[in-house]
Amino acid sequence: MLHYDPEKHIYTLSGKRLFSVTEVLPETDFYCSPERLEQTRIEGTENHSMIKMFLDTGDTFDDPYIVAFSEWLDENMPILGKLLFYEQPMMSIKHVFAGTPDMIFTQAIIDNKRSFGNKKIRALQLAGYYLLAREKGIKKIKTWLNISFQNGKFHARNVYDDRAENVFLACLNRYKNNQLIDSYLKST
Amino acid sequence: MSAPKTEKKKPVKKKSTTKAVAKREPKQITKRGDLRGLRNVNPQQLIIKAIERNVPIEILERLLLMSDKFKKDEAEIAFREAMSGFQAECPVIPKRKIVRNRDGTIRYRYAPIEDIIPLVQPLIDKYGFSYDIEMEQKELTISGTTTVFHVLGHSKRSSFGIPIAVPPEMKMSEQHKWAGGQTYVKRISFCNAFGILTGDEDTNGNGGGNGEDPTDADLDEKKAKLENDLPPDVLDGYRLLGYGVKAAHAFSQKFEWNAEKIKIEINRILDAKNATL
Repeated sequence: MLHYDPEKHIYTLSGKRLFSVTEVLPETDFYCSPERLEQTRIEGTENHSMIKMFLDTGDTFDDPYIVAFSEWLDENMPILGKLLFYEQPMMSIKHVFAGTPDMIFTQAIIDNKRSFGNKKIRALQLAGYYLLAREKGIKKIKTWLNISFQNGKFHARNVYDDRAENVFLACLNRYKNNQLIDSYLKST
Repeated sequence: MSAPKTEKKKPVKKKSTTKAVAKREPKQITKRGDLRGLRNVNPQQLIIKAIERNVPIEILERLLLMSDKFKKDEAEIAFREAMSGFQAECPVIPKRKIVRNRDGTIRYRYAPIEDIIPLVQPLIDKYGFSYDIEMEQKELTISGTTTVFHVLGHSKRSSFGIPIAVPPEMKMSEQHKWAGGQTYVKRISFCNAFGILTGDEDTNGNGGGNGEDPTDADLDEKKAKLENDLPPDVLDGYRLLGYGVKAAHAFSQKFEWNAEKIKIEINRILDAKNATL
């Protein structure tokens, strides 16, 4: 059975570690101080858990962040379809990797970010989640949304790219190969 | 924050209008409009035929009303289609401008309106939009309303307002305060109207990155209250649900920090989750 350690962000299957969607993505040229990085990580975790609480309970708790998300959801429901999974760790048996998509709807996959970054990298991440969803029997989805809370409301950007699925798998293979090479070189 | 000095003054109401772009000829949009499939019925032709056949004036009036509604609906559809095209092509605007703290460290970054407009203007033209920004000052608040017009006649308004207050350590004149607020409000109202996104953080609204980001101190305070006021099994329940400090605090507040009530709700959610697995 798939096990996920949220604190260490590690997925294991029967004790064997699985690579995660985010760790195989290419690194981008980006610098920020370790303190700032930690602060944004905490903010991200807190925001995700607020959305999770809303999806668990259907209650906005009068929190402006959740209220804005709820309004965005209502406005966009026709393009999203029915909510199938949220914050649920998933694994791909076929490609042997794991990840936790924020939300998977019948017609859209959603990733909530603090800001909109590199569209190509975001597309690769969502391609990874789409591959995970596909093994759950989800049909082709071409709405891969990055959502972000800015100026009091949620905004969305479709980052779908039909090349991203193959490129994600290439990243996964490259990462696996690099790990294999590293462990070979470090072995006695 | 210090109270602004304008408190004793009579309410001021100033109004200024920025006419930004003149309406343009619909080049692409006309073509897009012609192609839309559902428009097989032409109310104008119906009216012409009705006149030719000498139909009663009441029916003619109804046809004219129908024609008006048809045009409005067409204009709204065209607006939405154009906005969708605009947003799909619109880049995320980089936040180039840096505001520093006194010690030289970066306080925040933002994309100034003079950066945003040159980047989006070609797309505004391409999709047949024009806009108008109206600023209003009332007592201690400043608000901006951006109206987006489309060549086929539909328009949409987006308003944004803020109270004018600056931290006391930022020594600003009254004029500087209002001018700064006006620029900020104009920028946000414009971006919201067109759904324009800017990359990275922005704290020019005297708040956190997105206005709601918890500060370290805020989180520490909430964490301490959770640990002090709730038994360990409730905290374990929150961990099982994957709730962070902010969520657990909001949840506890909703149930008046009553451990028993909270436990019942946590178990209810966990049972529902287990049932779906």
